[in-house]
Amino acid sequence: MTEPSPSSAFRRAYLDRSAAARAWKAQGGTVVGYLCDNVPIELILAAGCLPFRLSGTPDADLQIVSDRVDALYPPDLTGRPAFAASILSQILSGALDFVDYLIIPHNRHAIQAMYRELIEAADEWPDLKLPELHYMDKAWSPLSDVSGFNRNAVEALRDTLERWTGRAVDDEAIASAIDDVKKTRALVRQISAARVEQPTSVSGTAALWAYAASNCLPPRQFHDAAQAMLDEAVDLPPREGPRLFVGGSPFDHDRLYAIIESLGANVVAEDHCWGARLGDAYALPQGAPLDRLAARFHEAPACSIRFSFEATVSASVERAIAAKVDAAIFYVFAGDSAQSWETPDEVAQLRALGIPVLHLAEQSYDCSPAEDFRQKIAEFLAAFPAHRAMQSS
Amino acid sequence: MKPGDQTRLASVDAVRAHQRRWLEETRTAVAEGGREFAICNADDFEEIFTAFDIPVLVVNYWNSIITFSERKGPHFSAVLRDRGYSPGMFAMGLASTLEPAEAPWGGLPRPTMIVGTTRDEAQLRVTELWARAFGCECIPLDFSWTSQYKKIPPNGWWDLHFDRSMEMIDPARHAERVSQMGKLIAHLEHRLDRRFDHDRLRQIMEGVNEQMALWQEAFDLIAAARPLPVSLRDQTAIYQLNWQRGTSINIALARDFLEEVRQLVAAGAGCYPSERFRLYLATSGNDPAFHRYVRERWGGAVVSSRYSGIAPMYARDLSQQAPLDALASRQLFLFDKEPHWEVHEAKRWGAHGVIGMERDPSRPSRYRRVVEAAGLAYLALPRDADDDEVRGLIDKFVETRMLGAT
Repeated sequence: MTEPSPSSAFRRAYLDRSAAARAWKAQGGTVVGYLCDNVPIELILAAGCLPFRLSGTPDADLQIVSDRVDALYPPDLTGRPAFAASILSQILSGALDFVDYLIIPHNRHAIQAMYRELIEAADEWPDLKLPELHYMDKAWSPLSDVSGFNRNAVEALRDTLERWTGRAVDDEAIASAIDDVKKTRALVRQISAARVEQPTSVSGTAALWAYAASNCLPPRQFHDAAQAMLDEAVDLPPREGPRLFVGGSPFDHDRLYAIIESLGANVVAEDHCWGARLGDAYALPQGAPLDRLAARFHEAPACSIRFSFEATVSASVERAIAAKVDAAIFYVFAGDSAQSWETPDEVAQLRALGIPVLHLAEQSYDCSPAEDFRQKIAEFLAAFPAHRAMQSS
Repeated sequence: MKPGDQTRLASVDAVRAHQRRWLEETRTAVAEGGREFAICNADDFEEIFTAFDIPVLVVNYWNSIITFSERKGPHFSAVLRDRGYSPGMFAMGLASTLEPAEAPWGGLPRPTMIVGTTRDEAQLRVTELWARAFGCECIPLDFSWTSQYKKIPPNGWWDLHFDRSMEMIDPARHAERVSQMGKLIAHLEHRLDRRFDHDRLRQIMEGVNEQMALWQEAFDLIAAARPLPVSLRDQTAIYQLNWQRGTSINIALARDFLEEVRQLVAAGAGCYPSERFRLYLATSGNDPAFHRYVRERWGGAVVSSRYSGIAPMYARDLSQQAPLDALASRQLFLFDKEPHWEVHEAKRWGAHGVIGMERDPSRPSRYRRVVEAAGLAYLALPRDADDDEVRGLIDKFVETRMLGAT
């Protein structure tokens, strides 16, 4: 019997994202759940807990969300994209019962709303067993400054973690956690770099599994598996086929990538919060560990949303250009109220650069019906050779 | 005057006429005289612009004119869809600028600035895109009452606005909001090359209090009167007074409204032929499409809605807080769409039942539980429409809960 490849280890982690957290819990550890990609997980690690990022799942039964949350509010207050609904359904159903505490950041509206929705659902339905919550506030306006509100929010999270764990979260522990997470991000960047090599030998799907694993495995476990994946990639055969960029909504599942890559193309880059962006580095000031975390938290977009619109669009377009893609697919979920406004500009800018783009607006979260998408994407990919021949001539 | 004879109030028509005239004058002043003009969200920065003597248009108000008054929602939704966007009511103003030929009332002049918001990612992006379409600056402020998730409003919150508003909001957010407003004021002082007059802001805020006291008195009279002297349509229409609130002209219009209400009450005027039963509408919509059916088939009346109770919540005790602090506290929490307040309002209006919108009216809901526990009947409807399904639900409700209960 051969040892499974690292990407298979990441696939296993992807298919059962809670396995590591359940094992951690079984050994007496504390699991702190969080949403989105800008919560300072270094503080969770410094508190001796395992950070576990909640993700959606396209197969979730959403009826419990209607019954336990939507029943509390008028319908104009309960609009949310399906991935957010599927996260809620897992919390309400007890599928995430290994999560001891949950941090909800002040990011997109549907995420913010979960804080109140869960508190009021627990009041209304005493049978619900929900984790204790912490609301991680954030100012996004260009009028806010790094030393103020957002730094206080980071301190407040530290105080909450100290209360939850009954132990002090000191600078030494924070500094050590910063190093661990820095290494995680560096490995994520190396995986992303391997993807954009020409030719690439790392599939977008395998990279997506690795990125997801960086959000649910203990850091050292991720470091070992990521290093092994990078070592293995050196010997993998080059992957043929067009190089694609995926933009639009956050893909916390691999169905779109799987469809694209089953058709012979490679997703070499993307712009969403479950992709290569997880490795983004920010120029942080020297100084006390908490100040460095606060600076990163201040700089990091809230749910991928940053001011200004132009900065967001440029960042996305630059990722596609840097990856030297042949084409792009933008897939926007129905109800994704951020991407529905940003994507048309991103599409227009890439097309202006001569990059063919397939823009799929108001789409299903689960990529169904899969055969329809397969057909659309196949037709889009079929037009490439002609396009590339035209470009070179 | 017998019930049903009373039609539209002259004072309400005067408000609409004033708003149109104001827009015309502003457009001319911007085009010919280089006057400044601004756009902002409902509660975000209006009083500050007014104190700067800059005419300001509120996004929600303009969207409401496009959607409800001019009924151009389908046209402008198509405008947005053609450009790859997903249409929504908040973006109607943006659409009317992208295709100004169809904009109501001749369209908007080019603003100096749009004050946006981060309270919702779509609203942030729409205000940014709108500013781009105009070629003007957009600066968003953080937080607002619709992102009131960090601190859940306490019980009985509707009685706390005037002098206990700090109990309803997060103090850290309040401090940040005051700071951001200060920075935006400084930015405007630099751009406009003139000083901000804090005394003028106090005058505006005192004007808001005066206006809201007139509103409160008028609506207390309307709620207590039998028969109902002012229709739901006019109650909703007069809400326009809340835009450019606190100005001398709006105070005068509010006084005219109160005076007309006094006269109607004294005359025993009624706006609906019959009030066999009275219903309260727990939505933010206008006079609903099914209202005529309720009146003509059953002799009932929808006597008021959520909007009639909101305006007084703008008033603040300025003896306790500096105007900027008071303004920030109001911006961070105005009202909450929750059933306990709606029950309070429904009882104030002498309603026998409450109408709410529910995606699936057959399922249990907190609105139903709270309303019925308070001794009122509850009618859940899936949408504001006058169709067979809605009529069927109304018929069943009236037959089982209203007839004999009144």
